[in-house]
Parts: sequence; structure tokens; C-alpha cells
Amino acid sequence: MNKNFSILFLQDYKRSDLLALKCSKDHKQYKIQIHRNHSFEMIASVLAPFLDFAEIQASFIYSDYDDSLGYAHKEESDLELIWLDISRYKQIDLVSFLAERIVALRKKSQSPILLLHTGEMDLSGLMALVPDFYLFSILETIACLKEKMFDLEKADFTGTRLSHKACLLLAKRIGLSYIPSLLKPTLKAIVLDLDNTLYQGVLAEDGIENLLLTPEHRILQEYLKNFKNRGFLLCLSSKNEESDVLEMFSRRDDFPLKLSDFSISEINWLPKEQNILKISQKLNIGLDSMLFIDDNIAEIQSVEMALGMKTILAKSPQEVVRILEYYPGLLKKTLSKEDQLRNSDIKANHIRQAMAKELSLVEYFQTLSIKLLFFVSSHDHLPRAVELLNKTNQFILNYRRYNPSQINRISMDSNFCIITISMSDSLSDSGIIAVVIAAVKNGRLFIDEIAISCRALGRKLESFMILNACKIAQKKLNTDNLVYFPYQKGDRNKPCLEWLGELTLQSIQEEKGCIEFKLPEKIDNPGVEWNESLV
Amino acid sequence: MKEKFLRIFSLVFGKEIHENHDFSMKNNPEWTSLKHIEIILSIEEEFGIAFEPQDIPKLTSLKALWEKTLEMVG
Repeated sequence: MNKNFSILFLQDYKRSDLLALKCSKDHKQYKIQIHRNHSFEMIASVLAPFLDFAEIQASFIYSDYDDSLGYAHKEESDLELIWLDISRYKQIDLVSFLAERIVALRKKSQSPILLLHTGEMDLSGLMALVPDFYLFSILETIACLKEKMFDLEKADFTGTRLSHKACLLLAKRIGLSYIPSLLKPTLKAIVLDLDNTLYQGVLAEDGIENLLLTPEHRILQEYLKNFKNRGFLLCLSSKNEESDVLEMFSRRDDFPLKLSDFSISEINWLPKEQNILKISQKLNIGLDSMLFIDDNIAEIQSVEMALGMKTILAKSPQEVVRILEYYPGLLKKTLSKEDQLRNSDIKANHIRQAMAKELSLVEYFQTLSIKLLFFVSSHDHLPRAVELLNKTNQFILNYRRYNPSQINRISMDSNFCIITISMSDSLSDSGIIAVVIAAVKNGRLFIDEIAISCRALGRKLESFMILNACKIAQKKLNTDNLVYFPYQKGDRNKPCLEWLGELTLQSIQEEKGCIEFKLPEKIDNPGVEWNESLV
Repeated sequence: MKEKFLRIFSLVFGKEIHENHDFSMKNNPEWTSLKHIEIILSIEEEFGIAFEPQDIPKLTSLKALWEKTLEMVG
């Protein structure tokens, strides 16, 4: 982490500290419209360095102070932020009022909607109201200020009851957590060092029994375990003897983190950048989706230099927890079934890879008893479809990055067909691992987008899944057996385009294009059981 | 202390503000009501003081703010 930016994660900082930070002008620009009934400017004026850390540049469009949330002067924006002081509403049914106003805003905008309010009541029931709508009470962030949360004396000047300290603290939460979670992809994996990071001491020197699990290290381990339970992958990169580490985890049952909590462990004496690269390849995820934590500044610097990765220098366990609490990309707005399945599925992938080397293709499929289930425009799967469309980087055709509102609309349009595919085998249930969006245009079948989870790649099922999805779409949309694959080259979708080239026997050279393909009458079943769900 | 004080002005306005600069709300359109409250809050925070609410609308020049700050810091 850039030294200048470490101030962003301190518990206490001044406005002048933030204003002194130089921000990059190279990040993508986003427009954020603020619908408000109290001032947001005191926060917006110090948001830039936090957003800059999350690689975001933002400009703000303000509504008038409007308790009625009338959305006058609505402009096109990338994010709608409703900024409400709930105390201004007296004697109204607040939940009904908000429900009606959120639905009204969704009709005007397809962008994510974020409601930040000062209320103590539970409004989470409103979250299911419209797609891509999230809400948080800002009191959670500023409760630590106790009686200094509000400053009524200055409210006439600042336009808000919030104190200056509260505004500074909220800028951190909004700039590092809330806004990035809506505009940027989340991180997928945290790679951890062991010695003096997860406990105090050096395994090879101090011995297993003398490693100290301080109360602060216990909190850190519990905190990390909680990340695992929320669907993030934990991995180990440690310079140690592997046998020592295995023995340590088996004997130290006081450690909240168990060896089984780590999806991949690279324990050897190789440079960490080599091991992290290996982890990224094994997980099939990009280095930009990973965060590396180590107490050794030299390791941090060499990983940053070699891989350009996000890192945290673990000066103390307390500091790591403080940074993780706010670190961009670590806020999950919702928890899907796939988040819970991910870790066990990745572990099963190691066994699958070993089996693929030993067995023929048919033997491999039959031994694993792979089952695929195809769902057509299943409403329950739409959030997962959006997640796949926005997080997939490698097996994706066009990077269309549909938002929840667009997917919701498409799911109700008879010219479209959204096919989600679940996969399970004798080793694990992978959940929904692929989505195919098909459309009929002038009587022709177009595959507007394909996204397959990196967990499901390498099982040699890509063609089988996609062609069967095309067949289902052909039947639903009543087209002939020609299918068109529009594609767009991106930074990382080479695997998808190579697959398309091999399938259609065409060389894909252009930056973008559209390839015609004749669907076969029958798609070879390689020993995989599959069905179209009636749900 | 004066250096710290001037630094706050420079940071809030995003440009160098010098000691003898005749800088006020009246002669600088960029000194908006938002910038005014930003300056007030930053000075309070930096010097550990709290301006009286009735004084805040009057402290609209660098000179007036400096004199008041000096008086309060003691």
C-alpha cells in the first residue's frame, strides 16, 4: 500500500490530512447523483482520496434539499445515492413512503441505488423491493463517536446534523466500502503469510508450542474466517517446511483458522511472487482479484513490483483488522448460495485435475457422475446471473456487464432467453456456474453473452453446456439451427474466444465481430447427465 | 502557527495562499459558503478550538480568521 495512503485507514485523521493527498486523474470517471434532504457536501469534499484508493474518480450531481424525494432534475448517472436524515420525517409511515419513492426512482434509472440513512429501525425488508438496491444505516459507522455523532450548533452552517468527525468517518466508509462495492468488482481471494502474521513467532525457530496466539491474533483469525464464510477464498503462501505447517495446524486446535479453511496452500521456499502466481492460476482468477497480506516489507515490495498486486503490510494484527474492515472490494452486499459452496468446490477441483490426467474423457465424466441442470429465465437465479456477468473475466464473450435492472427487464422480454446452468458431481455441488443470454433478432438466434465461472473451466464441458443452452434457446425462441455469436476482445477473455474459434473453426483476429455457426442436430453426450429444469 | 493556518487555506482552495494575501469572501468568488464552513472546521480541528456560532458568518476574510484564531489559541 502506498505510504501516503496509509492515512486513509487510520482511526483518526484530519480534513487537512485528506486534502493534502494527491489523487490520480487516470481512473475511470463515474457520475453519482445525490438525492438528499441534508447536506452531503461536507463528505463529498473529502471523498476523493478514498475513492482514488479504490481506483474511482467521481463527480456529483446534487438534488435540492427535498424531503419528498421528488427526483426533479434527474440526470443520467452511474449511481443513485439517496442521502436521508430520517429524523426529519415526523408522523408518516416511513417504510411505505420509502418503498414508493424507491420504486419511482427505479423507473427513472437503471443504475444501482444506494440509500444511506440516519435511522435506527430495520429497513432491510426494502432491499428486495427493486433490483440493485442496497441500504445501510450510517449510524453503524459513526456509533463509536457516541455523543459526538451530531453537532446541532453547526447544523445551520453545514446543512446537516452530522458532526465534522462523523462526516470524516463516513467519507471513509462511503469512499472505500459502499461506493466501490457498487461500481467495481469485489475481490475474490486473500493470500496470507503465516509467521508473525497469523500468530506471533516463527514456526521453524520457535517450534509449534511456542507460537503465540495473542488475543489480537485470535481476533484477526476469526475475522479472516468470517471472510471465508462470506465466500472469499483464503490461501496460504508461507516460507516454511510443508510438513511443519501441516503438523502445526493439526496440533494447534486453539487456532480459529484450520488448514481446511484455506483453498490453496503454497508452502515452500520459492519466492512468494511465484507462489502467488501459481495460486492465481490454480484458482483461475486474475491477480487484480487478490489481496496479499504479509508482515515482511521485503515480501510485500517484491510481490507489488513483480505482480502489481494489492497488498497489506501486517504491522500488527489490530492494524490488519482495521484495514480489512474498510478495504475496497471486501464488502459483500448479499450472500449467494455459490459464495458458500465456492471453497469446497475449489478443493474438489484439485482432485478433478488429477483425475483428468489419469482417465480418458469418457471415464473422467462417468467417474465423476457429472449432472448439469439448465434453467430458463429462472427468477430465483437472476442475482447469480448478474454476479457471473459482472465478475467473469476469462470465459466471457462480450463483457456486456448487465446490471440487475437490465437482467430483470430481459427476463420478462419474450425476445430473450436467459439460461442458467448448475453443475454437480460426486465431489461437490458447484451451484450455478454459467449463464447464457440468447436473443431473437429478425428471426435469427444471437448469443448476446456467455459467462462461465472460472471454477467450472477446465472440466471440458464448455461446448456441451453452451451448445445445449443454444438448443434450448432455439426451441424457446423458435429460430432455425443457425446461431450467431457476437464477440468483443477484452483484456482477459482469450479462453472464451479460443473456444469460439475452435468450435466454429474460424480464426478470431478482429477486435470485435460476429460468427455464424450451424447447430448440430445432436450434441454428443460425453457421459454427462443433463436435464432442462421444469422450474 | 501562521504557516499551519495558511496551509489550511491553500489546501481548501487548492492553490497557494500567501501571508499578505488580501483574501476574503468578498473579493474571491471561489470562497463559497461551502468553502467557508470547510475553512472554519479545518481551523477548529487543527488548533483544537471551537468558534462561537454567532462569529462564524462574520469571519469571512483571512485576516479576520487569523486574528480570531490567534485570540482563541491564546
